[in-house]
Amino acid sequence: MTQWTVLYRKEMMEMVRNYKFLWIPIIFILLGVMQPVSSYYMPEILDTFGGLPEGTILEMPTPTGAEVLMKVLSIYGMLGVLILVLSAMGVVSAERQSGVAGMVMIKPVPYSSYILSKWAGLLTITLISLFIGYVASWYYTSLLIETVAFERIFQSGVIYSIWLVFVVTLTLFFSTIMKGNGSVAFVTIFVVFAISTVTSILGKYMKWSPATMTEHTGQVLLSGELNSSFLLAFITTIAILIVILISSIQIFKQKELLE
Amino acid sequence: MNELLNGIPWGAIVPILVLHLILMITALVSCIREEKTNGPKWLWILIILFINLIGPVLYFVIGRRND
Amino acid sequence: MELLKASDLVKRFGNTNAVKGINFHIEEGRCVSLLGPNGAGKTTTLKMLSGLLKPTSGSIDFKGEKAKDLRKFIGYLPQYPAFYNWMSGKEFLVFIGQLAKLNRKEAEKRSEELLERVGLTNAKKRKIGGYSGGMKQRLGLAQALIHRPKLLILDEPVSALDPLGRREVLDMMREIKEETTILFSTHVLHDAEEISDDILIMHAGEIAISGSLGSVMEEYRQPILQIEFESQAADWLKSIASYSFVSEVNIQGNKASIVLKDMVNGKQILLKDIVDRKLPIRKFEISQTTLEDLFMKVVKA
Ligand SMILES: Nc1ncnc2c1ncn2[C@@H]1O[C@H](COP(=O)(O)OP(=O)(O)OP(=O)(O)O)[C@@H](O)[C@H]1O
Ligand SMILES: [Mg+2]
Repeated sequence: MTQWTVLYRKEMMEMVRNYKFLWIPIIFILLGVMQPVSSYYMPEILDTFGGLPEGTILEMPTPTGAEVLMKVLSIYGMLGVLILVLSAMGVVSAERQSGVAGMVMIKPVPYSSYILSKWAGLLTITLISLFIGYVASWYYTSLLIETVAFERIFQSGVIYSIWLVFVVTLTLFFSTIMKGNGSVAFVTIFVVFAISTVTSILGKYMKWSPATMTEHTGQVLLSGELNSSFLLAFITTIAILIVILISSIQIFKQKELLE
Repeated sequence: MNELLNGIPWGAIVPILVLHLILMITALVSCIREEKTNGPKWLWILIILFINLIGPVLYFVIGRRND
Repeated sequence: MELLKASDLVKRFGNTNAVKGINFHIEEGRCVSLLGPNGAGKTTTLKMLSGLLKPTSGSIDFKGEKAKDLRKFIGYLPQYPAFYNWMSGKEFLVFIGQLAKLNRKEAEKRSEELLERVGLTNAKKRKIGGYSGGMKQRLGLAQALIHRPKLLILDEPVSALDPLGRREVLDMMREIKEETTILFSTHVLHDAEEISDDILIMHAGEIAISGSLGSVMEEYRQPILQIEFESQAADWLKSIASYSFVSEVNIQGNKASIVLKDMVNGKQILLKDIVDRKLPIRKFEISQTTLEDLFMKVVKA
């Protein structure tokens, strides 16, 4: 077994023991099904508890299935991202702080194995949570609102996952270069927010931005077609990910462990 | 009201309630078994029990010591 | 045979010169202690040898070759070892063993052996978070030994332990030194005297004294006169400093240790002095300077 595998298995074991493998997917499921359920009940809830005068006709257009799922993804984009960043903020920094990162690196472990095992661990929990949550959301939407083709769910899920992978990779990076868990989360959230905002304001010039993945996701959900600028965004995102990972490894190498 | 209750597809609602419950119980078990939490343990137990969804998440993110 | 050689090793942290160009070598099979007061640069030196810290300049040779990645030859116990507190002792050792390139089976077997050896067999399934300081130190020793390193580096292995724990760890080190070369830092001189073959005394980033324990003691040993009074006799003790055969007088309450250039005549004259003045003497002893005296001298210089 390579050292990378040993480290990756340790990450998995840790996430099982500290219940991350349980609570993060559950949160993604709950966030995902809340939207279809509340869309379904909204007219009735208003009807029953809204105290509307007798005879008022509710002109609430029932959202389409795709619209509901878009809402779900925008919730993932806020609360899901927040949860992922908060749960991943200490991934390297906490181990550096406690000194246990030094205990690992004192053995002949390549620095890249350490960082990449952390990265793979984060991807695993992120993708599993997104997948389970999104499928649950699709199931509830089909049950309560209308059926959406699974193909579109799959495609949009894959494209959306690129954005979440970008977010957790960024978290890993800041967790490597900074020490306080709180500041890691703060800076990551700030950077993610800044990228999203700049991308949506300067849309024309930001077609390469990783944040456009959320737009491409919506596009695929609604029309089933991929925008032509997807490839550009995809390639730059992969390039940025590689650069972030390599710099994380290089910076980690320079950091003083065991203080 | 009765009609509304009858109209509820329990098959859809029950799993959601169960997940809430699992989340709460996991947080509670973890909290009780933990030797030390960040902040008083009894407070965390109250938070987990009485703040739905957000309570357990808060506990896992800041209450639990991950080391 | 020469196992490791450090040449002109320098480490700067910003403006602090933690290690100022030190040279030394370690012979295979020896137990070497690195002595020095707080801040002398011991930890910094050991970290550079272990490969965890890059020297600002200078080089480290291992078995006569320029060292690339020494980590696989070295077992290191940090001054403040840390663990995954959610793992059990056994899990941690197996994990670390595999990182040191043992396969799973070997790692399991070696872990059991070491747990036995450091006396943690009964606690091996318990979470490390619940271990006492002494148990953690012993687990730290076990993880350092897991891949049968050529050189075992221990940074203050006994400083944080109570007398009983110290005794245990020292006894273990005595066993281990039969199998592998040990370099350990300490500021407990007694420990160094007890188990090391060679000593290096560091002060302010430099090596002040080095050599085998015997030869260093031989070279720096001076006869010393220890006098103890029933009450203070400071006046007289101060006055004797003017004798030409007295080189140093250290007064501590009712006791004094006096370094003499000429023991044979000096002790006669002093004894006569005491008798003449009817000083209330309790003890009059001739002995040799200890490592502690030497250490104090180096540090104060
Ligand atoms: N990461 C660092 N940044 C800045 N200065 C440092 C760093 N590490 C050590 N130093 C400085 O280098 C000097 C030597 O420190 P070192 O830890 O090697 O001493 P030591 O001999 O191990 O002391 P102790 O007995 O207290 O463990 C000290 O002055 C210390 O302040
Ligand atoms: Mg030190």
